[in-house]
Amino acid sequence: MSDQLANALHGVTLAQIRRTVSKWCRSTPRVPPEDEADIAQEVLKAVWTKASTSPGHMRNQSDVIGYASRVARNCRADYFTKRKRSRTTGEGVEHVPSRPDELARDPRHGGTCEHLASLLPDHVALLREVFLALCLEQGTQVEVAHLLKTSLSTVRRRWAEAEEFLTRLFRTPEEGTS
Amino acid sequence: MTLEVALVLAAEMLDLFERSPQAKRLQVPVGRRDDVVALLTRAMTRQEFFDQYVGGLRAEIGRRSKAYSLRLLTYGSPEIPDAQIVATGFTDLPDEVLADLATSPHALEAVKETLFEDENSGAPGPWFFAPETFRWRDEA
Repeated sequence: MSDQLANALHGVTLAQIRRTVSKWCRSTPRVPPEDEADIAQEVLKAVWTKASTSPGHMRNQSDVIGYASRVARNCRADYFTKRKRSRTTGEGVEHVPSRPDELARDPRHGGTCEHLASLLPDHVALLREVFLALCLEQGTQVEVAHLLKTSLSTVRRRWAEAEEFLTRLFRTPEEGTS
Repeated sequence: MTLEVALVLAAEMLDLFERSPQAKRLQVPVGRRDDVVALLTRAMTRQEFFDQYVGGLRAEIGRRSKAYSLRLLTYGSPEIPDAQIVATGFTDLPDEVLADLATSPHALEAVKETLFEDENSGAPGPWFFAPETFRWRDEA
């Protein structure tokens, strides 16, 4: 990495950016390793571009890592959207639903958001409420947190828990349990 | 607080909860509160530690029974006090919240996202910028 680039990135190393990308790519459902490398390249390119064209938005290490994380998250979402599109057009590999609301729309699971919510454990009311609100797109995570009078981190956590719970539920035996 | 010590501490908390099927909350082992605070502070301020700790934690949970990992996922964990964490860190949180955060990959990722990416959460308080907290920059 050139000194100029290192300065623009406030000392954040390429390895740190790659780890940020990995965090997103390795969350459930995982992006295959061969595709993770492509996403990492895309993120690096975006971070370099941002650092060199908008230094005001990259004032410290947190800004750089935060931006890389946002781009990685978007790239991951795009990746699964493209997979879904390629499946509906008959091209590429079979789509793996990446979010519970995709599961809800998947006719194989015959579900609706309400149906999926009913599969969640009934002793954790907030798990269902958060899932249902986000699945039905009643608002952003911030808006749902406000609506349910809970914290944003709690909403994020409940969504991830619901996602993992439902993913486990629909996982075929061949896909393993880990 | 090394990664190894942190993961042993997490395993201890998971053991305690696993041995008490009727327990509603995770517990901090006796005399280890300061260590859990240190663990969480380090996780939120050092990316490499965070990644390795969360990875290790997932592996630790994965080694346990499927029933127990489902219990952890759905046990009715306490609310995460975002505003308090951003303002004052982990020092003043109740034990049950500390233990819950330190043993939940989803909770850790949610807090980290709020802390680093939520524009409305405001800047972290002095705890985040304390010399011992940011020593990792010198280590990098």
